[in-house]
Amino acid sequence: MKVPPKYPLQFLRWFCREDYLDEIEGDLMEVFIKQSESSPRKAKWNFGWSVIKYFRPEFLKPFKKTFHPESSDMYKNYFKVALRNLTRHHTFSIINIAGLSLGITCALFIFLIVNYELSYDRYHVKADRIYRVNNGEPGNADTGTPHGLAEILRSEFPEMEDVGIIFKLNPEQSNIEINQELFRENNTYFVQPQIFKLLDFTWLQGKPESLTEPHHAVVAQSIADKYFRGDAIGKTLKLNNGSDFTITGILADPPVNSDFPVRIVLSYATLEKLNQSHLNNRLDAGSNSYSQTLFSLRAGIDPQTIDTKLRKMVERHVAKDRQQFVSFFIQPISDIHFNVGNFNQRTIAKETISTLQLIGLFILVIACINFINLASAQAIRRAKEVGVRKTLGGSRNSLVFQFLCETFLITLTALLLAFGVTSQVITFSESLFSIPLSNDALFRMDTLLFMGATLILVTLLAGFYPAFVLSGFLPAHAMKGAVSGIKSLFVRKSLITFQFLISQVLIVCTILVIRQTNYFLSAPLGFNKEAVITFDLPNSKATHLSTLRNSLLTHSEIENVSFSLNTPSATINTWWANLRHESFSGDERSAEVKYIDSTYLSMFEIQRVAGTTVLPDLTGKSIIVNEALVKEIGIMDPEQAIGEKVSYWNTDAIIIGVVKDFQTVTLQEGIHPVILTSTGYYAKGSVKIDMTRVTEALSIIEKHWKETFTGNYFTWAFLDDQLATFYHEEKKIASLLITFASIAICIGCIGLFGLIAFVATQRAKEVSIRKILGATVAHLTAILSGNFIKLVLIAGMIAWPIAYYIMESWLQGIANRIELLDNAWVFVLSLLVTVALAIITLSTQTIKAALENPVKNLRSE
Amino acid sequence: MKNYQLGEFEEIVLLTVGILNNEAYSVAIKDEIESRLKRTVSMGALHTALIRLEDKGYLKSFSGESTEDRAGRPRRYFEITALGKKAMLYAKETREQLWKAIPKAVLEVSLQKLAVGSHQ
Repeated sequence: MKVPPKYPLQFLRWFCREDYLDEIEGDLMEVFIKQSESSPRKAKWNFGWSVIKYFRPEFLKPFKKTFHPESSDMYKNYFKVALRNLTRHHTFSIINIAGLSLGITCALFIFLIVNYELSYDRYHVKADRIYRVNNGEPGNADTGTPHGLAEILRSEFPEMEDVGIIFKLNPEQSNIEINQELFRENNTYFVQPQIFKLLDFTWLQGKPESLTEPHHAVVAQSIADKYFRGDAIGKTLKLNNGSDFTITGILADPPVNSDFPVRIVLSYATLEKLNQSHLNNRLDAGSNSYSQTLFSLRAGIDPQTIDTKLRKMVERHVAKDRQQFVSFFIQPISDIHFNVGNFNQRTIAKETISTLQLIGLFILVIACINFINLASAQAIRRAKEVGVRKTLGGSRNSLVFQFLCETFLITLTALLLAFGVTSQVITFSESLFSIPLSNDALFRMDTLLFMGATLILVTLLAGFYPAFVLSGFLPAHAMKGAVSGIKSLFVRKSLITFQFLISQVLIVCTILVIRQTNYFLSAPLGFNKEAVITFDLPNSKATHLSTLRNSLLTHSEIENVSFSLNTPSATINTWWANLRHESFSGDERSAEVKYIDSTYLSMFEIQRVAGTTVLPDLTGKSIIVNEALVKEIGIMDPEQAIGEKVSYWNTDAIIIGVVKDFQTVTLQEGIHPVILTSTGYYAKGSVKIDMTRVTEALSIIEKHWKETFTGNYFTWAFLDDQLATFYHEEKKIASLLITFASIAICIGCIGLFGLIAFVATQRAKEVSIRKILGATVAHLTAILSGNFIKLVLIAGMIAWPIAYYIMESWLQGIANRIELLDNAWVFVLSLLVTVALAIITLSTQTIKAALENPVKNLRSE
Repeated sequence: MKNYQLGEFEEIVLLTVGILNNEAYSVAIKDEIESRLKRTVSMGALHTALIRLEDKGYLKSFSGESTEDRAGRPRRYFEITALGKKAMLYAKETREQLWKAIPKAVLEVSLQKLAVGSHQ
């Protein structure tokens, strides 16, 4: 075998254009072989020389890089084909992207809400080892603990690093006077300096130690700026027209996600010095829910051990016969945002959070289903492409990968759109759901991670099934156009059913939550709440009160005046007493105690059942009770209860009257035993006015109130408005549900629109032929949309029991609830609404298809 | 009238392709030219000419069978196109016109000189 010289050949191959190389090599070889027969050396030399002579521009490779198939080229192709497809079927692309981005926006929004709610008090450095001591048992607990507990914890629990009391004042006790300016600061606290070792606050001026002294105060910067132009140190403020406090420090305002939103901090030592009545050192003493004990656990201590130690502490400090009524348990600080009794007044139940998360997930799934339906319906259009790719050696895996890439592209577009939309609407969350979100939250690391995860999840969830269907086409069938979507029809139908199932469950739940909230606002409370204006009483001096009453009653606009501890339904100043009766055999029950005056029952139209409604004295020894208390002490006939002896706190009392039950707490809870009596202590004034002359009545009340209580802060409210504020949480849930249910239905309809648009074009010829043969427009519309309506109906049937179960468990804990069976129409209504929406969506396309001139579709074959 | 561009070497190649008729491929063309005109032809130059002629549309090519003596590479055969034929004729005609236009005297002198020279 004659072998040509190696290096010249390599050189030739290196520089020579590929389209000429074969021929040139062939020529050179032919010449070489011929010559080497006579002289191999000359042939080799000639070969080399010829190669050199070929080294001229015509034969050189172009300097521009030539096409080299690399793996990235295939991706480029995927990308290009994807873009072409998106622009060619732009209607479907818009539907796809719109549906997905709506879904992602929802999910993102819910993520931000949930993240915000979960972020409460996580920012403290020691957050994971700060606990609050609660009074009672989990599930039936009071957030407040007796004053003496903190001192005992400090001396007997070495595992606790710092222990401190933080006590928030009730609104009516939070009246501040600075430079003769009176205002109410709802976030006024008595605080022990140890609290500042537990919780993170930024001290702009001063030191926590200054709060060891009585009559010292620290204010938030917002207060310092507003009332002292920033120069607050050394100035004084007056609390409730009484004690003066010297300002010794300034704090930065706490972040919004704090359940300790302090604005004015007063030294707890002041309270101890003034020896307020509630400062009882006994552990079995009553406690104020807003006087809370916090502590930080030393690192490495198991919190489980504390609860048992607290039990032993109770045994050491409480008399034997009282021990069974006293217990404490600890709660992590990260948990207190989800129960009533935190200082922020903004709680959200853990169940609400997980419901929201579930809704977010479902909406995302609905959006994905849209995508799956449209993509697999459109698969036929891509059949030829799949056929060609497979013929050219594309494996199934690479096809799956290609379609996933396409989905990725669409999802990415939708995600970016969702991000943009969210950044625009995020500011509305405060007014819509009273959740203060800001744009900063969008750019935090965890949000970006969430979006990345969503991108991948949605791509896989939405893209996998269409990719699987498409890549499964047999090339021969696909090229002939013989692919039909029949196989995937069942899947698609189930997916649509699932979509409308979720939508209808959401609609039913939304309407029922709204109904329940409305019921809360309109349910009979057992007393009159109309035309009543309430205001606070700074003190209950008899002279002040009688002056105010008499001067108010001189005006015809004022119909009645009553002074009491609180209104019949109230969340503030609800005092609970331990109730004892001989029928309890040593046990104790609890009853709410309300201090009233002689006009209270008549003004609030609380009905008498037995005995008298006139309280003879202010000793608290004669009491009027409600029917529930009569039942509690085991007496059936209210008349029999008159003269019965009971004791509450340490007062032995005699029942002199029985009134009908009325709602004393929020409607989530039922009726409790109530004791109505009189001690001369009052905190609330209520005035029944003539509703035709409201403004006059208001100015009269304000004038006389200010005359009586000079130097005090006046504020008023309508009783019914005040009662409505109890149901903020329900209203928030309702507004969240309305938003997300309508979005879910909207996404479902977008998907239906896309699908029917596709079906209408697919079946255009059939429709035209039917039309020629005499079908009416109505008939054609029915044929096209009939199948879809059937699916919606099936979805409704499945949705009913699910919605029933969900709502039943939501309503379970509510004492005054709507009955689901009375609200059966809600279920039917939701189905009708969904069907109506589906018909409207479908008809946009079906009517168009039915009206079209048959010639158009049948002209060409 | 169309202008047919045809260089001297190109014309020779074109003519040789014509001579070889159906058997014209690079090495055959080279051998033919070398044997008829007693001049060496480099493969590179020949190749360039062939490419140019093909670009101009005077030649067209098709690949033939691959053979053992070319280490498996196929031969590329060339064929004169109609345009190529016109170009050849045009070249020939222009030469003849020019020949005819030369005054006889000029040619005689030089021919005589040639004759004298040849007699020596």
